[in-house]
Parts: sequence; structure tokens; C-alpha cells
Amino acid sequence: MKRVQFSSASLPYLYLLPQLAIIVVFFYWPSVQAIQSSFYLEDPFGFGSTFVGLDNYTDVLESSSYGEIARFTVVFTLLVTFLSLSLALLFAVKADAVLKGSSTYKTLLMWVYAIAPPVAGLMGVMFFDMHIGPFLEVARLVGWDFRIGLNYFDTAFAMVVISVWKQIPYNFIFFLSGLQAIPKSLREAGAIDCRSGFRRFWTITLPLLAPTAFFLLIINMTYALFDTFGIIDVVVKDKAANNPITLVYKVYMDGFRGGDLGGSSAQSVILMFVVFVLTIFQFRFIERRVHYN
Amino acid sequence: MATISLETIRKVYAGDVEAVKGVSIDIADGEFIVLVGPSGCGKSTLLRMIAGLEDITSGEARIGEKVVNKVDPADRDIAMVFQNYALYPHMTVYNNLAYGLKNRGTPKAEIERRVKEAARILEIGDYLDRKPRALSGGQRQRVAMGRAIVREPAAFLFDEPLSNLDAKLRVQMRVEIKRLQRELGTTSVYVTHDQLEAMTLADRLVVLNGGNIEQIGAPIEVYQNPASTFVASFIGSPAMNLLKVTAGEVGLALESGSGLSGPNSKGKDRYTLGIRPEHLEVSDGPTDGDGLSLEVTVNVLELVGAESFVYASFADGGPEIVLRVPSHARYTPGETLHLKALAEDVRFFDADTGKLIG
Repeated sequence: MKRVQFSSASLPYLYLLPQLAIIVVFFYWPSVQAIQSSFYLEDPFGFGSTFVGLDNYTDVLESSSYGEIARFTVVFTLLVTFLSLSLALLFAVKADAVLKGSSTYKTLLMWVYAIAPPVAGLMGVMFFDMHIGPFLEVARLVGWDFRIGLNYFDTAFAMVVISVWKQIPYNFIFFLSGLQAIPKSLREAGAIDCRSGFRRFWTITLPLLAPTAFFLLIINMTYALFDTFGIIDVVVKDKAANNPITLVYKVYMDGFRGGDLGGSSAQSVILMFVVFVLTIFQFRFIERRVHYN
Repeated sequence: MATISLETIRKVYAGDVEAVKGVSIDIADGEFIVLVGPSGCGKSTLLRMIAGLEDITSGEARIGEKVVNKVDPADRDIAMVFQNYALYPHMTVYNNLAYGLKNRGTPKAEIERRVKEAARILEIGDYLDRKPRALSGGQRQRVAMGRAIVREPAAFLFDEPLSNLDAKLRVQMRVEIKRLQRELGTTSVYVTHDQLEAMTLADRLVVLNGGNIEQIGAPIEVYQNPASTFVASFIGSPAMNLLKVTAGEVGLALESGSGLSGPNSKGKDRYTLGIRPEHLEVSDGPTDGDGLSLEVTVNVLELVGAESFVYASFADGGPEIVLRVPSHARYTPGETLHLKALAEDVRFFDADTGKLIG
């Protein structure tokens, strides 16, 4: 890293100010507000609030629906992360091996990324729609009476499929550029040392992709936890009822639909804590095994 | 250990680019062959076809008795040393050496024995636990060599392995590669564009130009009797002086008009005359006899230490010629010199094809 000498001691802070201002206004301030209001019982019509201590937290953690939604969130996050990472890696490896017309393949695989999550959700909902959805034709062939929005499992299935579909291009771009950064001579040395392409992939390609994969793991978990909000919102059509939802969606429903600002704040503080722990875990235990060049 | 034989090997890339145009070489068991030529001559492509990293468009490649055209690189029983070493960055030196053996199901004790042995020969025993990024260029080069040695393959393939090293290390490693190859007696094919490397390492040189073989032969043979003007100008530094002459009634004439006297090529009146810089000698005046005799003006004197090079030109312009003189000799630019050379040191090349005559 290059060291730069500043003429005045305050100048570097001045340069950092815009970034710091954004973080303070859009992260620290709302976080502090959330923590604060999680200790209060808020009047839904804004006529003042009462301090209730940890009541909001105990209410949240004791409710059975919260536990169920938390379980679904864990399963959903793991599924979406695993599937979108592994499928994207598969596509990237295959696209990397294509010689003729490779740019066409790459473009086709990438452009889904340009679609906004709610639009992706809408397209998915139409794909799985009970009246016009083409997927239902396929499901009917194997005797699956697919009912999105009515059947818990079917709705969850659609959510996972749409979320994975939306995230694959992003992962694909990173995996592909990671693959292309592996020197050709290294692959050739591998080809001479190891006959099995599968084994070569596990012992040479994958370890060299590990930094990319680790970065994507964090990004994908965050995506599955938070950024799938738009997709879930479109799938459940703003009324969750008995459909599966994730914790973030519950924060939104309780706070903005249910008017329980205190409870919603408590939930978001819990979520913040979980993500915090998760990130520390990832950096401490997984990054250690990652080889950086 | 094995012979390698190539039979009219061709390589045509997409878009009808013919990189190798029907090359045939028979390499004896234990022989050190150097493929040398300017960039784009097809030497690396040829090596990569032997390794199996490029498909052979037509022709037949055999390692030992086996035709290997369609054989997987890993099954050809060859080991390759790459220009940028191509060490696995995420593995320790030990694992870099052991990787190829592990994948072939070599017993653990045997792997350990071979790695230790290679480490001893190459003096890399102290770095076995390190990752390649913690090694210097020379050490990486040794590890790359070690990776080839532990495999105990039928043949070593070297793709310009020394070109990323600094000058001093390059000379050191050059000597070491030669010694190692002698000791192990493994058939080796070595690609380089450095003619000094080629001269010092090779049992036999293969000079390539534009996808064709210009000459195959022992280095000294190639040096003394280059098969063409291309080889004459590529092998040797400074290169052989080449003078295009026409035989007249009295002596020879250059295209620029300057005259000189020299030996006649049998039966041709136009030809290219070649003379190595060290065979030209400064004389007191024009000499008679059947040797070469010419008069030039000094342009530059280049002192390189053990010897000096004089660059000189003819009165009417024409090609610049080089001669090798002792380091104590002093010539000043503008000075006129009479040069002579023995008839037996002069080579003749066909004026049109550039091929050696006689």
C-alpha cells in the first residue's frame, strides 16, 4: 500500500467525510433508533410511547410463529446460498471451457442480473401461476398439483427457485473471472500431473477459486437473508397469511403492516446481531482455509 | 527413458495458420535435443504437441514404441518445465513435487523417498514446507525442475525454462540442467530462442524457421557449416558475415559496386559468401592467393572485455561486416583496414534459395 503524506492533519478526515456521513445517516442512526425503540411500546397512531424494557424481546422469542419463521429463514438461506453458488460454479466452469461463441453464452447467462428483484419475483410468479404458469404443465406431468400461495411447500419451492435464478448470474460473473485468472500454464501443468479432470478441479481449480468463493459466500448469505425481500413480497402478494416468509419480511409486516414498531425493532436488532455473529464466524473460521495469492 | 520420434508433424490453427509444416525428427534415448529459432517459428507448438497440450493436425508422434497422437498428456510419461514455472500456489513445495505421483497412485513411502532425493539433488530440502510465493525466482525454477525429476519420466520437456531468470542465474542453471540431464540420462527436448543456451546444452540442435526445420546437427557442426543463410545469421553472436557477390572477370563484386577478391564458388557467378567474424584477420595490405581479401573502413570498435568487435563497411556502402579482434587492438573510426581470411573458412550459399553450396 502506498503511503501518502497529507499537508494538514484534518484533510484525510475531510476526504472520508462523505463516506462517513452516508454510513452514519443510513446505518448508525437507524440502528441506534431501532435499538432504542425496541425497548418501547409504540402507539400505532404516534401518540407517544411507553418504556417496556425487554418485553419486546421476550414476546418475540417466546412466540411460536417467530421460531417457525426463523427455521424457514435458515433453511431458505442455506438452500439459496448453496444452490446459487454451486449452479453458478457449474455454469462458469462449462462456459469457461467453451471456445466457440463463448461471449454469447456468457452474455446470455449474465443478463438476468440486470433484472430488479421485484421484477424477477413477478416473472417467477407468472411462471408458477396457477392459471397461466408454464411450470404447472410440467408439474402436472409428474402428478404434482402445484399451488403457489396456498401450499406452504409449493410457495417455498417457488421462492427458492426465483431467488436462486436471480442470484446465479452475479455469482457466475465472479466465478468466471476467477477461473480466467488461473494461468493457462498452471492448468497445463495440472493436465500433465493428473489425468482425471474431476480430481484436477477439486485439487487445483477449486482451491485457487477459494478467495472468490469465500467472498461470494458472504454476499450470497446476505442476499438470501435480506435482498430476497422483493421476491418474497411479490410471491406472497403483500399478505403472508400461512405462506412461508423470512425474518426480514416479518420485520416489515409487524412494523409497517401490524403497526408494532417496538416488536419490529426488537426483531431487527436480533437479526442484526445474528448477521454480526455470522460474519465474524465466516472470517475467523472459513477465511483461514482460503489461500490468497 | 525412451526415444521420441516425430513424423511429418503438422499443426494448423483455425483460420488456416500453419504453425508447424511437416517436421520429422528422430530423438535417441537419452539425447538432449534443443529446438531453437526466432519467435513464431513453431518451436513451442512442436514441444506442446509432444506434451499433448496441443492436438497434432497430421503426422505421427511416438514416445518409445507407442503412438501418442491421441494419448492424454498425463499418460504420455513426460514431465514438463514451464517458462513461468507453473507451480501450484496453494501447495507447499513438498506437495508440488508429490502431486503428480499421488495422482498416479505411487505409495506414500516411495513418494517421500523420491521427493527427498530430488530435494537433495536440487538443494531445495530446506524449503519443502514453504509455499511457492515465499521462494525466489531461482528457487522456484529448482522446484519446477524437481517436479519433473520426481516423476522419473521417459522424457523431460523444457519450454524456455530459464528466460525469466536474471543473467547470472541463467548461466548457473544452464550448467546445472546439463549436468542433471547427463546424470539422469533422460531424453530431453528443450525449447529456447537463446542461441547460446542452444549451443551449450544440445547434443543436437534443431533450428526451426517459419514452421520448417532449417538444420539438424551437433551444435559445432551447425556453427561451422550452417545449412542456410538463416542458420548462419541465427547461430553465433555476432552473426556470420554474409556478402552477396557476383563473380566478374577480375575478382568479385558486391551489389554496391565494391570489389573484393575471394574464392570462387564452383560453377556459379552469383552467390552469397559467408565468413565468421573470428575468421577475418587484419593484414598489412591486399593479399594474393585463393583466400578472401577485402578493404573496409572502420565504423565502430566495440569493447566487450575478453575481445573486441570491429564494425566496418565498404567504400561504396553495402553490408556492414563484423570482425573479432583481440581486446588490446585499437582501431579508430574512419581507418582503412585490409582484411583476409582463409579459403577453407569461407562458406557459399545459393543467391536465391540461401542454401549452403557444396
